[in-house]
Amino acid sequence: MANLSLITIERMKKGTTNSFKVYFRFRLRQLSRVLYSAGWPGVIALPLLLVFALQGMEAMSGAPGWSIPLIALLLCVSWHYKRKDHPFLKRTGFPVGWVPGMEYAMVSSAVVLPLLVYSGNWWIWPAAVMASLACGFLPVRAARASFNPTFFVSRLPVALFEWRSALRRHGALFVLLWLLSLAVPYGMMVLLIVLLLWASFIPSVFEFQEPREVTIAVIVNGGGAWRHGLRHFALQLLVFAPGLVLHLVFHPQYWYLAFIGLGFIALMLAFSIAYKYATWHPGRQRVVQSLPVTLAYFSLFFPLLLPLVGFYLLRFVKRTRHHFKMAYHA
Amino acid sequence: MLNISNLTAGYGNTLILDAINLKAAAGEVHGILGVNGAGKTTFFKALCRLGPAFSGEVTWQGAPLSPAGMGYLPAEPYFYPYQTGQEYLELCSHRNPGFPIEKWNGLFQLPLKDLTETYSTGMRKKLALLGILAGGYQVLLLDEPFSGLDLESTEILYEILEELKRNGLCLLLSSHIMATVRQVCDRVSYLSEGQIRETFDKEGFPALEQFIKTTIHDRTKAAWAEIRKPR
Repeated sequence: MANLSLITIERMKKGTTNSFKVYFRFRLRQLSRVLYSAGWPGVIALPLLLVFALQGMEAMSGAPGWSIPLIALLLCVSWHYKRKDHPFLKRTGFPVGWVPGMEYAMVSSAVVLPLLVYSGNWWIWPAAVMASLACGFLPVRAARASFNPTFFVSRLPVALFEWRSALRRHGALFVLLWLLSLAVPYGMMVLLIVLLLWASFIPSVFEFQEPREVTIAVIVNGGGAWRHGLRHFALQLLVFAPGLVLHLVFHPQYWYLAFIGLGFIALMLAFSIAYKYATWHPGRQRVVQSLPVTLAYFSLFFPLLLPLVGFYLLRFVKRTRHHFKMAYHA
Repeated sequence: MLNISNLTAGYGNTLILDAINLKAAAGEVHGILGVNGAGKTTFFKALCRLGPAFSGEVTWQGAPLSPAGMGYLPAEPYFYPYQTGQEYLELCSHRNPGFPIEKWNGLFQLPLKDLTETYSTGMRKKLALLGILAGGYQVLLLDEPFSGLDLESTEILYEILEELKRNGLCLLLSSHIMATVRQVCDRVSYLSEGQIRETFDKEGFPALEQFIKTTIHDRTKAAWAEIRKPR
C-alpha cells in the first residue's frame, strides 16, 4: 500500500488525548477572532458586562446559593440545544458528550467563579461544574426524529409559518417548556425563568429564510412586518395564558415578573424578525448567526446589554423596511 | 470486504430503509443511485448513526465496524463560524496527527489561512473532502461528492478516487450524474422505496441506464396522460 497517511482503526482509538487539545486550541482562536470582530460594539459591550458582573455579585449576596449553579445550568442547556456542531463532532470522532461538557464546565466556571469571590460559597463551584458537564451528555435527536406535534401545527395559521416549522424541529422542547409554565404555583420565579428560556429559543424559530414568494405573500401583502410581529406576539400570549393566569392568582404581588418575561419575549421576537429580514439574501437558506444575535441572546441574562440590542434593533428595522419596500416594488 | 447486513433505518414511525444488504470489496467504489428522497443520505447517516434509528450489522474485513471507523462527506458539510481552512483540517485530523495537510492541499490549492466563510460552495466542498481524507478512514461514504465542483476539481476528484482505490479503501458514493457513476464506480446499487432493487457491475451499466429510463417512463406515463387530458 502506498503511503497516503492513512491509519488503522487501532491507532485512531489512541488519538483521543489529542482531540481535546486540538478542539480547545481552535475554540480559543475562534474566541479571539469573535472578540476582534466585535469591534467598537464589543468595546461598549465589555464594560457593560463588567458593570453587570459587579451588580450580579451584589445581587447574589442576597440570593440563595443554588441560584448560581441554576443560572449556569440554564445557560448550558440553552447553549446545548442551540449548537449545530453535534453531527460534525460525532462523525469526526470527537468524544461526544465530553467535549461539549468540558466546554460548558469551563464557561460556567468563568461565569460562576467571579460571583463566588463575592459570596464566598465555594461549594457552589463544583456543583455548577458537575451540572454543566452533565449538560454535554444531554441527548440531541435528529430534527426529523423529534416530537412532531401535528395536532398543534395543523391548527396554526399559515401566517405563522416560522412556528409551524420550529414546532416540527423542536416540538418536544417547546411543549416541555410550556408544561413547565404550568408549574407556576411552586415558585414565583418559575414563570419568569420559563419565559426567559422560551425567549432564548426564539432566534432559532426564525433561523431559516423562506423564498421571496412566501415572504411577499405572507408578510408584505399580509399587513407588513409590524402586523407579522403582532401576530407572533399574540400567539405567545395565547400559549402562555394559562401560566400567566396562574401566576397572577398565586403570586399577585409579583405581577411585574410576568410582564418582564413577556417584555423579553417581545424583544426577542422583534429582534429575530428584524434581524432575519435585514440580513435577507436571495440565495441563503439559513440566517447567519453573528455577534448581534449573540448579544441579543446574552441580553436575556445580562440585561445591561439591552441598550446595545436596542441600537441593533433600530438598525435592523430600518434595513428590513428597505428590503420589504424592494420586495413590494419588485 | 465491507459487509452491511439487514440495515433498517427510519425517522419516528416512518421506515426509510428496509433490511438493506450490501457488500463492497476493499479497493472498490460502490455507487448508490436513486431518485430524490429514495433514502441515499439516510443510508449514509444511518451507517454513521447520525440521526435515524438504526438496526443491522456492519463489518469491515470481518470485524464489526463502528461509525467512528467510517469517514462521511455530507452533501452540506458543517463549518464553524470564524474558522480557517487549516483549523478545519486540524480538527478533522485530530486522530491522525501526522496527516500532511500542506501536501494534500497541493491538489486543490485552497487558501487554508482564510476563514471558511469566505470560501465559495465548491471550495467548501473541496475542504470537506480533504477533511475526510485527513481523518484517515478505510471506509468512506461520499454523499454527492461532485456537486458544486468545477471541471478541474472534478477531474482531480476522479484522480483522488482512483488513488484511494489503489490504496485499498472502500468507497460508497452517491451521485445523480450518470457520467460520473460510469467513470468512477465499479458497481452500482439502485435504491428505491427503501430497498436495493438491483446491483449492476461495470458491464451492466448500459442495462442500468435502460433500467432507470424504463422506471422513469413507467412513472411519468400516467402523469403525462393526465396532464394531456383536456381540462
